[in-house]
Amino acid sequence: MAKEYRKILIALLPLFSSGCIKDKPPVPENTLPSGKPDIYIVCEGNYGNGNGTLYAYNSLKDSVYGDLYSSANASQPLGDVFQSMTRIDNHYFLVVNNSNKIVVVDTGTYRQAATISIPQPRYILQTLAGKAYVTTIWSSKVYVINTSSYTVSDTIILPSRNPETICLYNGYALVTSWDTADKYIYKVDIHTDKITDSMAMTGRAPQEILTDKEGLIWVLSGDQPLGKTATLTHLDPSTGAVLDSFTFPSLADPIKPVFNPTNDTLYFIETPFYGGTAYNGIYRMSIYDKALPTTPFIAGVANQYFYALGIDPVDGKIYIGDPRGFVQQGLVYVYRPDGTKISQFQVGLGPGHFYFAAAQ
Amino acid sequence: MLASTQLLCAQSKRDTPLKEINVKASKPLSNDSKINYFSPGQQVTRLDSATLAAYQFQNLSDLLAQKTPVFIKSYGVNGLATLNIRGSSAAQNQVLWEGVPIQNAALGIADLSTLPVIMMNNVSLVYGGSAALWGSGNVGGALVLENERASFDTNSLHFSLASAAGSYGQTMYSFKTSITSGKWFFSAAYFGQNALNNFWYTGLTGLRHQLTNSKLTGNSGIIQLARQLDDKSSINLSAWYQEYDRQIPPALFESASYKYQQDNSLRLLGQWHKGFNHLHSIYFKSSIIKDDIHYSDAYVQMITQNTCYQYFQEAGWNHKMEKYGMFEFFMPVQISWMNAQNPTVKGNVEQTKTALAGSYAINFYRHKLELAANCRQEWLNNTPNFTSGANASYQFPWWLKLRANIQQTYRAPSLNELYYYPGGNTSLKPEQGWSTDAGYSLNFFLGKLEFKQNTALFYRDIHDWILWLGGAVWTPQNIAEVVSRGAETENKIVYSSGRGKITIGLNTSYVLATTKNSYIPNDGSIGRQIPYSPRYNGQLNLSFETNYFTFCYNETYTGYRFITMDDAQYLPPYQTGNFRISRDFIYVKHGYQRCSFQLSAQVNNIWDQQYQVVAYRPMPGRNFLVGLRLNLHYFTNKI
Repeated sequence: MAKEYRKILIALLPLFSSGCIKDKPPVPENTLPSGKPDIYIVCEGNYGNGNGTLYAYNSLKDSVYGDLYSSANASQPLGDVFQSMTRIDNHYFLVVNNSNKIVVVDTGTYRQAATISIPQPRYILQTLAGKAYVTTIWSSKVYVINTSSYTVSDTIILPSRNPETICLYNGYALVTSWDTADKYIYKVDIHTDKITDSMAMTGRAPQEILTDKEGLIWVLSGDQPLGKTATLTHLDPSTGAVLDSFTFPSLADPIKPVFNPTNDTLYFIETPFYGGTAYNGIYRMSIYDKALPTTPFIAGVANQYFYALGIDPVDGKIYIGDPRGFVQQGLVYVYRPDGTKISQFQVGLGPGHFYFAAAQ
Repeated sequence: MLASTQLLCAQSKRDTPLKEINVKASKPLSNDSKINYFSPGQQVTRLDSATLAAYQFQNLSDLLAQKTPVFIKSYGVNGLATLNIRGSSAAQNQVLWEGVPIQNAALGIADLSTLPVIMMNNVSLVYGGSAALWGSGNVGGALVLENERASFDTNSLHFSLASAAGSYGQTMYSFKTSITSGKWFFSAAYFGQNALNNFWYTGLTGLRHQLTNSKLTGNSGIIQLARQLDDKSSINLSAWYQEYDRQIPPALFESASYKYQQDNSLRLLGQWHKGFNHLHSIYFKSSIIKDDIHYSDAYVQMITQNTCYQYFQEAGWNHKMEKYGMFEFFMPVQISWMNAQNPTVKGNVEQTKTALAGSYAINFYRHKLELAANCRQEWLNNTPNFTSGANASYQFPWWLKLRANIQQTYRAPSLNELYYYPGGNTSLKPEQGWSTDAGYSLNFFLGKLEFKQNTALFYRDIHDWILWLGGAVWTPQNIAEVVSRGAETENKIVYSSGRGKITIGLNTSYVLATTKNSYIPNDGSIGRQIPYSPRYNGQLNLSFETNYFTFCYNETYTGYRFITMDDAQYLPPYQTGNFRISRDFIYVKHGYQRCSFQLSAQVNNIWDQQYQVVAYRPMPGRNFLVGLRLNLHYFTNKI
């Protein structure tokens, strides 16, 4: 019988050796800001996982808040690939790309006021009172929406796919078309919503468009992963004349250009998706420079690349988003205008854009 | 007799005065010598024919999720389902059909949701990496699939026809046959299925929705023809074709989906075996596989076509040396390629793995102590890579078997990881590391109760773990060192009497798979559980069987799964119950003919749990399936 007990004892051994780690993880704290934060962080999330989030930062209190949407809306997730945000009147329009929607929230409470269904939206820009344009990826459509009734009122069809960013110029919207087969930006009459003209860039796949302090236009083109070398075109929007053109090295992949508060220095990120140190970091150039910068103003290191860039229009501080591979919560680094690091804080997955409340 | 033994119990009925006896008989775990002879110290779970029959209308992902302590990462209905053994990634496990790796060469993974159980006669799960024995990709373990072993010198016919229908428009139909006539053997199996999968689920806002864009049509057929050339040699040809048309339903964060995927696979295999005497034998196998995936998303006007090919051949020589054990030398060659027509690669891409491998097994004390050692020199294109390993088992006393296993392991990057456009990374290094485990098997009787237990403790350390990172462009990178350790148990108590058999089974798994080091600056994943690798996982299986009646109940528990590398986001545990009942009607005309019907009914997710295995992919609630199977057996004496 002793032998039988021994067998049973051995059979029961695993019962005493399991359960080493408590399985239930701590519940993440979601907080809403007590006052008005001055910076919002658009966190894309991880594609296909529905975990885009909106975070906020109060620079005076050095406090981070998030996930704002979930906190204010009964723990509902915002959606998949939170691409951009824009304030129109008393609402923030949150563009959630892979959830095919724009979520409209109140600027004070962050509670959802409406949603607008649009396939693969990217960016939104108010063109007139009660009216905004929404660009999309994978299609050639720019949607015209009514920002009061939250409905789609019209569509504008571009000659090529992937309408991306828009800027306003003298009663017109200038729309880029991030299509590797295209090299034009399109001039749309914001009253008639008709394309009236187009302007040729020096490189294909125009992506980002900005206006400098001289009222001139800078267009960043290219799609390095798809073999289209990046170019920066400086042009006069009144005539369409190209004033200057800069071609990046073929391995450089510049993204997310922004101007400093005085609109005379252009900052952009170069992202090495393959994890190297070449063409990695934050670069800057004066609008009067005649060549692209060759060394980073703030260098990235191996296996790290930056993905979000913003400059506070009030104090000129530089905010940089590090997505840490898009597989974990991102970090935001804060630098002084002279390039010295001040602090860092943790945000949601994949910080992609900054929105400064003072910029509205 | 070198093979692992199983205990076959012949027990007396209650009204007979005979004392019960235990008959110990040799029964090979597999047709594969790598399992039978060269893995005595590795934990191997073989799913018996009764279990496979009970899952005849389901796919391998359901079978493994409910019957083994592994985690199946399922992206919901019509979605990908991959294997996670001991915290491995999907690409770190091999799926082998008759010894041939059948993972998609581009993806490096096999979708278990498209592998019907009925296609196979033997399914074995080998835990723990052993790249020296099985080759690149064997990090977590291997799923070994085998067809019916060809038998000769009889005249026999086996035929079964089955059909099932159930909730959400499920219909399935299958047939399976094998014919032996003298020196010839032929077998065929077919499985077809259709489903609407339009079940109701709870959306993010708490409202109920009906799943859309979720239709499935699948066809899978396999034929095998074998000829005995002489007393010691035979040739065997097999062809396996399958096609799956599946709509991909929307994730919870999508209002609608227009995604569609079509998978076609053709696998051809030829095998030749010749024995010279009882000491020598040689074999050769050659296989070519074409995998075709067509994916479209009408919503965003995206269409991709991905076709990849794989050629595999292996020649081997097995020599038994009477008192000095057995060795086997084999030379596997695997060539994978994609041509320039694929929009996902630029130009023709190819990967060649050529290897020289040797395994040696010896036993002492009349098979009480079994030892095996393996080594392999593999050239990945032209880059050499040496792996080795050893394992042992010791049976002491008869009811207790101790096992130990230590293996080097590695995985070469897949074609997509190297060449996918855009994002592929040609400078990726292979994942490599060590895998060790130890454990024991218990098997003893207390009266009419039989106790079986397998317990394993494991530790695995993998360097240069490959992970896809990125936002706009996803790129695989060697990012980390990941350590997995934990324990698995498989417990079973069987009560047998003349009237029937009651079985209680409990499988448990505890896996701590954490990032130890990382190349990513400020990485928040250090010390954290890797995504989609539950720490706790278990199944309770109850069954009651008589000659005509079977009742089975399965309860599966899966613990928290983290979504992110820093464990900031996670999914709650889920627990599902599955119930199956069947009744056999057996008609025997005379000794050589047998005809039977089986009527079965099953309820899956009986407690109607609303759960997700992968974030935002709803799983079906309670659903029903009723099936009917006809079996015919005809055989004569040996001719």
